[in-house]
Amino acid sequence: MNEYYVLAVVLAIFVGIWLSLWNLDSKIQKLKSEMEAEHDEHDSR
Amino acid sequence: MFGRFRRSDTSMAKFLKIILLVWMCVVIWAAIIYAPPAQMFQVESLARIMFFHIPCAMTATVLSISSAVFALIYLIKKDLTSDVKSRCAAAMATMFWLLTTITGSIFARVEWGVYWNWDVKQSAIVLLILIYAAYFALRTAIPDRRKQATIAACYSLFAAATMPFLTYVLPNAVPSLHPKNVIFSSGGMDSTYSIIFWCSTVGFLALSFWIYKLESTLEGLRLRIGIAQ
Repeated sequence: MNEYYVLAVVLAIFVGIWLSLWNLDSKIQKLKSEMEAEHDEHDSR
Repeated sequence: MFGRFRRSDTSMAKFLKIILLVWMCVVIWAAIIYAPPAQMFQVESLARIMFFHIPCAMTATVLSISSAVFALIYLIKKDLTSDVKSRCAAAMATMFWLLTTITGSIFARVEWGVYWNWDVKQSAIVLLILIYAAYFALRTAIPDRRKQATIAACYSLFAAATMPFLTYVLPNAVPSLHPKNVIFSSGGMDSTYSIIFWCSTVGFLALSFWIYKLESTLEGLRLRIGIAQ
């Protein structure tokens, strides 16, 4: 029973970290594509 | 065409990140539930912390070496992107050395009675953390970007050069509470422990690579904005 409690806590921590990274990754990719689009637009002018 | 290539590349990256989530969840389950309690430990179930403690140390070692490699590339090419990559790898290495110390202290409290024993390996890793802390202090002390990158690159090479002595040579040369050659010796770990341990190491390396990529991409974007300004 105690081991399952530890498992739940460790899994919750890991999934929390993974979700934060996933969220951050999406934001950074969006920012990167926006900057690239801006750069392309600037070049075309 | 390039747009389609980039889209498929992003889908592949997303797929690999989901694989990492499943992989690490299975590793955590195997480490805590599936692995049998190890013998010759005060609290036999606590041996399971080794599935997290040693992979953290191995990941930190790989990141320290990566930092030195990018520092060397910077010194050769004088390309600020390599300096950014070196700094990100050093930051990640410091974080993983810190995690190694924390997980080790938890183990030490249960196995050896106190959180801190002044064991040679414990002290050596703290010294390594201080060396990397000095690396970041050095960077902030130099305002000129190019000069900062050059001096930091030289220092990063020095930091990586001290690592094998502090983590391997010194602990093997003097008596230590840490067991010697558990991972690579034939009688160190049984097959179940060995498989879970290496799967955990692969998972930690993949996770650190992902965090490192995020950090270096963000720093790269900051660098581009800085150049544009």
